[in-house]
Amino acid sequence: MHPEILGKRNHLAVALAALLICVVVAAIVAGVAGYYIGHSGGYNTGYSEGYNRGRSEGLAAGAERAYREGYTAGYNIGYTYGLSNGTLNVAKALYMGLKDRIMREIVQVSAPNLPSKIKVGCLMALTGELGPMGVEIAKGAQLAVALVNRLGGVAGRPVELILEDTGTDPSKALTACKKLVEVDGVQVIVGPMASGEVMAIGSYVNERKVVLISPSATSPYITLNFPDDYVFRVVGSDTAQAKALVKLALDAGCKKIATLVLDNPYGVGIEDVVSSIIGDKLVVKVRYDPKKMDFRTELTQIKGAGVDGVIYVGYYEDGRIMFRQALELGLDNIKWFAAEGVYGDPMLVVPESAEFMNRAVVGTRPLPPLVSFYDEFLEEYETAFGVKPAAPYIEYCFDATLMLLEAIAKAGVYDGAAIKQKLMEVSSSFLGASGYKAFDKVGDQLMQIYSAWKVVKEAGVYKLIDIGVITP
Amino acid sequence: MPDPLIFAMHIAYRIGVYGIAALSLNIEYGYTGLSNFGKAAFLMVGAYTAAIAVENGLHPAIALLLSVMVSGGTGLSASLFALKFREDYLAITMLAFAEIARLILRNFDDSIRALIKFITGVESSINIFGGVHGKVVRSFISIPGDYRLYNIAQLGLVYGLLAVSYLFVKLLSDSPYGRILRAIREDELASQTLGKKTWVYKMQSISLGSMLAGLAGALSAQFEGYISPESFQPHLTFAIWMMVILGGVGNNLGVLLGAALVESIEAAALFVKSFLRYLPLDPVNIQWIFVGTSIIIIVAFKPKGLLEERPIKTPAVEVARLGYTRG
Amino acid sequence: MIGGPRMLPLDLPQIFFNSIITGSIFMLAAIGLSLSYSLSRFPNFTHAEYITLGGYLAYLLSEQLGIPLYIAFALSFLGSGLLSLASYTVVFKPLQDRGSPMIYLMVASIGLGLVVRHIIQQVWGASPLTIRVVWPRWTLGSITVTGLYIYLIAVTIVTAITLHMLLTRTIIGKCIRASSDNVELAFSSGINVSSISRFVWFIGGGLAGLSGFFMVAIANAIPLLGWRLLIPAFAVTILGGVGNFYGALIASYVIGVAENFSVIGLTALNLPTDLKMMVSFFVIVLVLLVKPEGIFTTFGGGSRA
Repeated sequence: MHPEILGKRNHLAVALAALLICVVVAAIVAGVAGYYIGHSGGYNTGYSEGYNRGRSEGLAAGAERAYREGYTAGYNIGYTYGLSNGTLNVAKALYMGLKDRIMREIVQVSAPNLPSKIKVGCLMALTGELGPMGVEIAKGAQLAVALVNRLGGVAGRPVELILEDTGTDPSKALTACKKLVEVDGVQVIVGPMASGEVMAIGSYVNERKVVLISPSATSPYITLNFPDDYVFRVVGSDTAQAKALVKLALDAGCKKIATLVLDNPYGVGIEDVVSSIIGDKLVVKVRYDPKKMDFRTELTQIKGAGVDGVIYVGYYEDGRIMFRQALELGLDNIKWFAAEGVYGDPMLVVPESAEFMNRAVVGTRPLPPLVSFYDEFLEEYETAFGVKPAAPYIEYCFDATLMLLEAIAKAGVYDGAAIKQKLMEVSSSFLGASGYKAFDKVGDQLMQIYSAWKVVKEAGVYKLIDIGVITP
Repeated sequence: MPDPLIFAMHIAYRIGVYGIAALSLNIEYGYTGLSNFGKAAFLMVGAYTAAIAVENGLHPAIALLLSVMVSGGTGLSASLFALKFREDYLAITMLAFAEIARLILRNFDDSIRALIKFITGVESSINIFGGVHGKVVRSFISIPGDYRLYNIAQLGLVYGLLAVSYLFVKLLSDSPYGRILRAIREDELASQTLGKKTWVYKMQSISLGSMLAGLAGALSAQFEGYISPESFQPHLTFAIWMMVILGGVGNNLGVLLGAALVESIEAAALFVKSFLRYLPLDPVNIQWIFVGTSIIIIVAFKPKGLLEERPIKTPAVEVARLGYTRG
Repeated sequence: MIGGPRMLPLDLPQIFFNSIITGSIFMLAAIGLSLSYSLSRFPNFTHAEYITLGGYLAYLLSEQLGIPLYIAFALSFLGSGLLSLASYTVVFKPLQDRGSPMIYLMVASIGLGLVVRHIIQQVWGASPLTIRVVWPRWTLGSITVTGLYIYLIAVTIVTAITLHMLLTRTIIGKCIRASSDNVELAFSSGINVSSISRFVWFIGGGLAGLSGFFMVAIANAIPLLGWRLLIPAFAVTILGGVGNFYGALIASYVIGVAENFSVIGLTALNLPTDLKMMVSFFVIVLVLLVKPEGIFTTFGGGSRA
């Protein structure tokens, strides 16, 4: 028989049969799965939701109380010092300069059981989507290590920073992490940057008792998945930042708000919190892919929705494009509220972006407190690299590294479990380039306040300035 | 205490998983000549099925079974494409299909929540796939206290399943069934003329391949402990194709070799850095330039791969050969 | 309806204008792909890197060397064209002469793409790079137009007309159309298919470079620049019919419009807008399922589905 004739009639039958098979298989699978999911899902869901809710509310209440007490105590001490000595600088001097602290707490410590070389692992995204940021943030760790070595090392021993690239890929982060721990033998790690990468290696570092401090992972899911363990963060969870952004927007009188966020855990995390706070005032939710590079239609949508405020979460590269295109489309008559991903001089490099920010953008960022060693850090940074810090979180990475080194010095042994114990102690009195870094019980920041910033134009030059503190 | 063996086992595990994935592509492309460029999607389906199953309290064995079945089912539906398209259109379609599946999975929960809000006005908190945040996955094996033993057990699991998969594919290939698959690859029209319902074999081929791919995805998910849609982009499919082509199209040991090679090169890049310290070269770039060039060279000079496909050994062939020399 | 789709007032003129911009870039990117696909009979994944190289050359010349933009423009065309020609002559043609099957050529193109992309990444780094040129801006009604967009549209129109003239009025054009339609017949009619191919690969690559140039000017340069445009380029190629110039022309704008309008639908339903990438994928799958020769077969130009 001629194949062609067979073919024609077969096709329909084929399609139908295949479709039926699919439907049947899918139905069976769906049924089984549905039964199991429904059967156990309900209770499990209820239990875990209740547990999570209770826990996070308890945590929040506890954190708030601790913050208030700490704030009051700190304020009193600071006030006393300031009062009795007249100037903030003198107060800082009494409180130990950064180098002084390093000398006293890290270098001049006696610790006979430490190995002859102290290794610190650093997992950063050096390539991939977050590559540009990671390269800059890694400099914070490099600076800290160089500084400590210059002053004498940890209990007199030199520090070696071993840097590995995660490629903004959680899978690769895990492989690189195992290499650092098992082959290079590190017991402390600074990084990774991205929340997804932290979640990929969380169970592993807990299992192997390796202390990890991330300078920039802000997803609330990290707290949920890895409480009470070896995963620490020196930056506040984005829940707080989202609340700060909302406060700015509502205080500015916005009634119809749009969110425009990166389509990743950072952006989506903030969008979720914003959405849960302002409910119906949120009229447009846009998530964009930073690689797309062309956002005009999204911006047109926002313009068309007649919103009076936009809450924006982006990074430098896409942020510059976004702001440039927003200026083109005339969105500078709406108020924009931006998260710290777009805070930095690189945003001002593109003139249209700077102009737009000048006209329409107010942002939030974790508050660099009045009392901190940011100036010392800045001095060291400029001496070492010749430019101002070009990304957020570099000073956080710097602080994280210093805290780890201090914890190692105090622990006296190069062992993750011992170091972890000392880390909690260290954090309760540590004052770094990004302020006080006290950890709460789950390894998150005890308190995180945000400051508001904007871009001004002085003598034709654009500058970023802080304009106030947002109290939660 | 640092234990380099654990790192080695990690790499070995990845090789095992990629080995299963490469075998799955070998069935589809190596034997049946179907260019499945959507492989990553089936790994993804397996991974997420396993993650959700274990999350809901199912026993790991059932989770594994479910992963295999669901990805097989997905493969079955996708195989419909294979019936209509010639090789390059199939490749592009499967690529598109995989990306569509990935984007759907990534935005699924948000879309469902938006739809529920649309229809009922209720703010629900459905979160099955985790969206962009990914999912933390509980591992199948639990040996608290002895991490080395845990890793050994995991290796046992993956290589055990790899061995089973290998035997399965070998049985498949050294059989009349395998002969038919190859016949379809060489000349589909001729096979049809001989009365073979090629569409049935094609669908079976992709379904079986997808089942294996789902297995690989599930094993990888429970070992690494975390999955997100970003891990299943076309890049993964291309990597598996490189393994098959480098190692040997149609040769099972060959594709395993390919998997071992590609994964080892990636691991080696971590260490090459110390040698490249004085050159301003980034080992990541060197690694991929090397892989890309190898592919071109292999395609040019040894298109059958490092280990070429061996002639089939079925009883009929043996008999025919004997008969011929005697006669 | 509570929480339902929001009927936002549509700024149609602006959205249509955006679609024209998007469509023009797609056209520049896709023409080369479509023609090379039909002439050499394999989908060339290295095409993405011609786009990327064009973009990076634009950055190199205008930012790093301070050369005026229109010269950078010409050099982007040249650079990408040469890369495309080289990849054909050094890699693909020899493979074809050895009788490599289509899938192998495709895989080789993926491999070559990896090599080129990582060389680019080694030279320029993985960080996004921006060209800092300020364009004049005008407002026409509700649409904002910058000098860059005028430039892009002008280039697209000139390209379309030139190619049309080339294809219909010149001998080379007729040879291209003949080869595109039926390579063996063209060959046996005495057409030097190799020369024609080299010409087409060069021009196609150059145009791809131009699309990269504009992408970088509008946004920025990243190593995956080309991949961002490759998928829509494939969608355009398939929708318009492989090897069909006029089909590709129309298809580019159809897909441009589709992508931009899908954003409207997605935001109305509160869905994430990066789902708009799905438009290209869906187009590919649907067209191949329903009418693999492409929608626009009436416009001539061939393809063998």
